[in-house]
Amino acid sequence: MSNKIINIILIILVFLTIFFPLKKDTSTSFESKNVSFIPDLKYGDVLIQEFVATDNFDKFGFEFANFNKIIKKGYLKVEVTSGNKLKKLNVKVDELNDNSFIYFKYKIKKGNKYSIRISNKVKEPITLITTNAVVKNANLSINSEKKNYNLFMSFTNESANYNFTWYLLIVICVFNCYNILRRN
Amino acid sequence: MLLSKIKNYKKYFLFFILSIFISSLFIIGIDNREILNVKSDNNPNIIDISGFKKEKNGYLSTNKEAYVVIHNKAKYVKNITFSYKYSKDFTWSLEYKINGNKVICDYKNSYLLNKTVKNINSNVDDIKINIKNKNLYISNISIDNNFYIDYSKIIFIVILLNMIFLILNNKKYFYNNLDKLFLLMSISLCFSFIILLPKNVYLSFDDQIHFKNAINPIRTNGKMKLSYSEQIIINGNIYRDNDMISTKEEKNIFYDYINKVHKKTKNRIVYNSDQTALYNKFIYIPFYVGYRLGSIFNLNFTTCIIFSKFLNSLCYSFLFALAIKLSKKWKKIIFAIGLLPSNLYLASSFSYDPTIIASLTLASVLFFNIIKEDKINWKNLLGYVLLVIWGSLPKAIYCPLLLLLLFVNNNKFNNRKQAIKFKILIVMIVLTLMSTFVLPTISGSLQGDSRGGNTSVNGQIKFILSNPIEFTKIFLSFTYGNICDLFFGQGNIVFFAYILDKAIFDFVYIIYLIFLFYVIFKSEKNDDVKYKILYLVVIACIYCLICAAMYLSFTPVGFNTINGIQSRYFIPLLLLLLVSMVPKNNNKNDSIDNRVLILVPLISMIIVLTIISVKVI
Repeated sequence: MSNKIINIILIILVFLTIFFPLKKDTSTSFESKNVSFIPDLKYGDVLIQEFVATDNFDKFGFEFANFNKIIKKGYLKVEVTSGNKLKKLNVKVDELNDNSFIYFKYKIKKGNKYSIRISNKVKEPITLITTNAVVKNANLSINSEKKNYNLFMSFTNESANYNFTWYLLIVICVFNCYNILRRN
Repeated sequence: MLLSKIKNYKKYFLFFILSIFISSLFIIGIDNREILNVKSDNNPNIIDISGFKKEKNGYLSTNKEAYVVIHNKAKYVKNITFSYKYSKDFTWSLEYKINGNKVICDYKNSYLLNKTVKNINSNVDDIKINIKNKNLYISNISIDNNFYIDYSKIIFIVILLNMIFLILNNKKYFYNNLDKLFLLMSISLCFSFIILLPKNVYLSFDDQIHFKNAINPIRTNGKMKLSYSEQIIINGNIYRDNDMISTKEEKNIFYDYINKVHKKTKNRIVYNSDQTALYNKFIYIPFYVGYRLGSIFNLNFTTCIIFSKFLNSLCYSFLFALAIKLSKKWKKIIFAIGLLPSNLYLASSFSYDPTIIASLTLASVLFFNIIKEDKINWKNLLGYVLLVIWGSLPKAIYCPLLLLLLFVNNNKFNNRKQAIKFKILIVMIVLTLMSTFVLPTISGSLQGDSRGGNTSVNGQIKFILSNPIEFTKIFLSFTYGNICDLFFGQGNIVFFAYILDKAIFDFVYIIYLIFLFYVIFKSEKNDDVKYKILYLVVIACIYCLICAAMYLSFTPVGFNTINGIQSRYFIPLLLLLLVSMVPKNNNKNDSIDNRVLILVPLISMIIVLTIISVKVI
């Protein structure tokens, strides 16, 4: 009897994970070609990356690096402009992992033009990862000087995460294997 | 129990003390033989200097072509060393003459460390230090001819000598208890590997990713704890370049630095965007427990790394020892596979391969027992299911091994109904595990691995569907050219990923390959032709799945071969393969000489570990 109850609970959980799944981020990025670094972005330096969105996204990100320096204070001033709308998305540098992507929650709509303005408000120089791949409608400038490469940007969308569904299905099967082998 | 058989504890204790004394003398003597009568010079004469200005107790470079020439009074120079301070990584060079021939060595140093130690190991008179950066401060230039004691080599020799002594004094016991012998050899050799290898990653395949997962298996709200030292180890920029850290002394300076920084920054929280499924992280539990135990006892960061690897290698050793203990036949084949130098290396690294290999080998043993029993033992059946699931969680490609249970005779079950219900559940488990990678592939949400180049899963699927004959030719051509190497090549037997060129170990590879075939063809007979064919069919299915997975995710679209397939993917299937090769005309009992069984893996590993202790910094 208790085995039936456990099975019913597990099946209910499976249905819950199917109809109310957890979320995960699926990402797409600019093509990576001859990935490199921008010259050191010193305090006050400004970088502007423009692009036209190829799809709808929930987050955008770029890859940050700080040469393994221990940075305790300071932030990156990040401003996103689309049309007339401006949004400020600053981030503390001591919470950033070297050679890792930073993602910002910002709804991006397909076909819209965006301009991301990044200003270094950290005493120590930092850098960002770039790609030499040709990205349509994308432009990068550092301190008003145009560059022939772009930031290696990544965009994410929320999608359903069914990992727990698989996990529970396996548990149900193994639990019933045990019951069948022990009982009959 | 072994302890009751070791009658004379005093003998072992005295030998242990003696082995420490002998190995210390040996290593100190060997490593320092050139400088036995040579003194250091902490204040060498500076005979020429340009591009520097005196500042405090040292010199500050004023241009990009600064140099200082020192005169060596001691004739022999083991190391030249100086302290430095600069704002970023920098390059510099050493110039000197050996027997009249000019030698120029270029180096790169990390700004994070503050001292450099470079080997010269020759008789030289004058040494020129060329600095190529302005505002670089150097001080404490000295000729270092001090004794260097490599404790890792001493520990390695002590472990080796005591292991051999224990085996020699209890030969009969170990011949009758192969599982205990395996445990002793595996733990000793894995620990030797761990001690001799550098205390960082980028030594084994993707170990930087495994290390990151092992120290932080559970992350919440997109954040995780990561000290600066952990970050430095994962990024690897400082130590991966051989020009940056090129001596053991510099490695020790690096370890001191990361140990200090770890203590100051271990509660640092960072953003993290990793999306690895939770069930893929369970396999890192032994690493995590070892690492946490080290932290709880407030041990150094580098010691925590050792603990972490050691606990995982213990799990590998125990699983294999259990496989040997439970198996009723072919114990010596399992023994030989467990002590493959490649396996011991993986077991001593941040890798989930050893757990997969050990779990699936133990599962294979349980399957051999299941088919030999008249009636099913539910523990063996459930154990087999759980072990294959455990080994398939990080790599679902091995789940077809569960389908072997479909070929267990229904008569072994209590009744036909039980057999059918059980087999239906097995098929459901396999379908569920396969769905974890097949469904994302079909739905197009799986991306290619950018390390393989211009990859695209969707693009590759379209290519395969529109060019099935072309793809079949690619698959058959790849199989024809690589199948032997993938199962019996050096990649499976003596391969240590990134640490040394595999050509150095050609001799060990040949000896161990011959040894494997010797063990196969002298083992107890295997006259079960039906199951031999079945094992080969399952191996072939898994091989095809691996080829398909790597062609889709790791090979550029339409490429004429399959990229990214490594021999280690097939080591979990090695026991099934080797057992299929055992002749049906052999005797009922094996005719393998126990001395060969022990000596070949032992001598192979002594050669491997000795080379590593000398060549790897």
